[in-house]
Amino acid sequence: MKKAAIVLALSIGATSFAKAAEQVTIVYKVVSTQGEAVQTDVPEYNWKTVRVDADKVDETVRELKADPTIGMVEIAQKVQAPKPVMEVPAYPKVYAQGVRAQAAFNDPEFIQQKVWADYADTDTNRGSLTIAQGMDIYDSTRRMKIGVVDGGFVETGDITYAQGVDMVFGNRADGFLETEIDPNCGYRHGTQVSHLAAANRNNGVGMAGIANADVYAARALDCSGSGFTTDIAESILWLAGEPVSGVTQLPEPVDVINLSLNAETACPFYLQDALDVARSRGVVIVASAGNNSDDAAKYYPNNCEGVVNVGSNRFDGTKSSFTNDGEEVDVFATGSDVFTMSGPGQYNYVYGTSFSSPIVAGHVALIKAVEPEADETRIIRLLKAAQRSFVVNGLTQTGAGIMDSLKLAKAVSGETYVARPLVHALNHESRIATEAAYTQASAQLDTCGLYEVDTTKLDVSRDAGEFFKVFEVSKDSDFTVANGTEVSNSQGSRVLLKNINPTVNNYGLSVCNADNSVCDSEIPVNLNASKALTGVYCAR
Amino acid sequence: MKKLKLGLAIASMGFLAACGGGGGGGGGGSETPKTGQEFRINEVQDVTVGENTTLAVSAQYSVKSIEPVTPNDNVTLTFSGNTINVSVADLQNPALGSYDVYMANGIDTMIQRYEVMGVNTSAFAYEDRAYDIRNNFEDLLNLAEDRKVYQFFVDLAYLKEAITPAQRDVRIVDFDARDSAGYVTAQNDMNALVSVFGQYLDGDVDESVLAGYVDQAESSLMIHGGYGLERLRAVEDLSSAVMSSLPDSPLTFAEDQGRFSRFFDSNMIEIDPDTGDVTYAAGYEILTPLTGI
Repeated sequence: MKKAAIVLALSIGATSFAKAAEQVTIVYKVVSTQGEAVQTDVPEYNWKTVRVDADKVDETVRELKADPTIGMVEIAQKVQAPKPVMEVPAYPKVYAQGVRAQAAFNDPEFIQQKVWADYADTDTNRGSLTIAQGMDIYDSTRRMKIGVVDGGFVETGDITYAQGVDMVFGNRADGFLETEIDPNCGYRHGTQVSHLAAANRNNGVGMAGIANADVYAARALDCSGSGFTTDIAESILWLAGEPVSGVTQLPEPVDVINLSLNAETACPFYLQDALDVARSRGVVIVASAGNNSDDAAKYYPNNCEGVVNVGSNRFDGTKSSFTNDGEEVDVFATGSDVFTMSGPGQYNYVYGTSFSSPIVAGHVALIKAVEPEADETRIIRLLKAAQRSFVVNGLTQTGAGIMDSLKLAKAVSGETYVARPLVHALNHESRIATEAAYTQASAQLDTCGLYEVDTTKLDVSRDAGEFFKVFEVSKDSDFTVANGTEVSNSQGSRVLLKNINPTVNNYGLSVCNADNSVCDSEIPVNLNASKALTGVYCAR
Repeated sequence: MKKLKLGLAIASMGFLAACGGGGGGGGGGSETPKTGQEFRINEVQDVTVGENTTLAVSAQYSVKSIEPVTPNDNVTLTFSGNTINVSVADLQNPALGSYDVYMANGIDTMIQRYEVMGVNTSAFAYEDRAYDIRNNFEDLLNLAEDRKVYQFFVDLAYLKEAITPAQRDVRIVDFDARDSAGYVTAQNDMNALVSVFGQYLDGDVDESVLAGYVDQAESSLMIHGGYGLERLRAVEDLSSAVMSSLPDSPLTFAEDQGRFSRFFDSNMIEIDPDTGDVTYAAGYEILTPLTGI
């Protein structure tokens, strides 16, 4: 996930793209009549688009720039789903070992899903994601919502599309199935991606998905796997439950959005705004790192803020040759030789970070089923704590490692509960052994409602003079610093909190100056307060 | 090597019905053997006897003979009928010997291993100190109990908002036993004791040598412990709200507790005359969960 702030720079004319019926999409930001940027407390998407013939681009841009109500102007970039490095039709195979949980589900092709297999953690099988073992622990009873921005969606009888829209090349219409929109198209990328994350389990059909989830399909890529960033941005807005002209608004945001698409460009400002809107609605965005054997930082959405970026590894625990890498990659998951479904009765072994991403997106849905408030910071912390480092020539590599589903499940289920930054103060691991000392009468400590944030467990730092501040935000409001009430602050490593009420409020932490006029982020780090709530220490 | 403790009770001679190993067996069929067989009782019988003491032990069967396995010169076993008399002479070290006791059970012979521990009772006090130093070396050297109490008072003050989180961060780490002027000497003397204690248990040095090393290590530890008391004094502004001021109690060996501690000073505790139970006196109750009294 990119952590640095966006560099403000105008990208007009950088890579003007003229295609799609010889027209170009220009996107511009609406500001106040005084020509100053609209200041809002809540992330908003104030961008509009205009499509013009290629020879009218310069003239239109000049006119837009002259308009005092318009701020930044950009040309929509063309992006595409990472081309699968290879796609191999799947024929019946028999695995003599490895698929421990093959009897766990009655999906007939489950035995082919080697990515679920629980290999022993040996040097030769370090690539195991331990998904089958993890599934024994995850609570998958809650039906989740996974948004997929892609193309080539078809019905297979093994997935539940709850809703879908067509956003390709400026289209804005309900309906998303490739078989209806472009019957001659054989592109099935979105179908393959969606099944890895959310194929229905135990339905006697096809394969098993990671999460118990409905899919919300945003068709933003055409039959060639291409699309425009403006369409991607509005697809994200739609999945976040925002109104988008021409399509039926979702009643509520999805839980997680999968973006198996990339383009070698800086993160467009309007895309970042769309992502921020989604994040403020509690949506976690997961993206493929790309298949360019390159630094993921050069590609969007990997270089946007607040995105969980996923690279690809092989089953043997090495990195896939094609995967993008670098500091922006948060986690790796198997993306080589991955079995998935392409259509009714059609299966393939596919290669690409496109297929690593939905495996992680499915896990994010599993996490959010238990921790609905979990934001990308919490998700990444959990994923990083549950990684297995790459080992090359006997040397453990720094940087992101391979997701370990079992470890993740234990962390999420509370087995490794100490990872939580906000707990009742007496549940902090430093006090568990001496709890009786704090609760005895002679200590004269009111333990009821005594909570604490241990900031050393958060990915935030504080400069001299700044404060860690905890904000209470009503669940009826957007989760922002501006909507919150400061309930505690600290210039130490811990922050005391008293009498939280996570039933009606969310709690988040930000690093701010004394009067809150400057905070590091307008969206605080969600502290998942409901997980900390306990009445144990009030009954004494 | 087993730890020698007070109370020289013999381990219970439970009913030993299980037979196994040893001889027996032989061919199948229903032929009744005309001569007795030997059976080894798997359970080893531990007997603990103080020096200059004789203890009578009841065997399960009539004793026929006793064969030394790894005998000890200071241990003597005699028998009469079902009774085995175990005698331990004056000791300078712990004495351990093992013997096989042959007993008659009808025409069969039952064999049981006896492990006799001769306790050097005159060295109890030194042994207990040496055991504590050997087994809790790092905790003692780091003054872990003092630090635990110190950090508790800092943390409690923070939870009660008597100090800020930033002040907590600073004060809670302001206890490092390595800053003690007596740290290195204590470390050296404790190391020397651990080494000599091993020799003592092996019978290579006698109790007088052990006593000298124990005295030296205890003295060094007491000096080193002065740092802990100084740090505890430094948080009296925080602890005074919930605890009386600590007496100038040095870090010494608390006989009743079998360990080194400064928190069992006679000014801080009360002993029930009937039960012997130790509790903290008024003003020091808060230490109860911290010191495990």
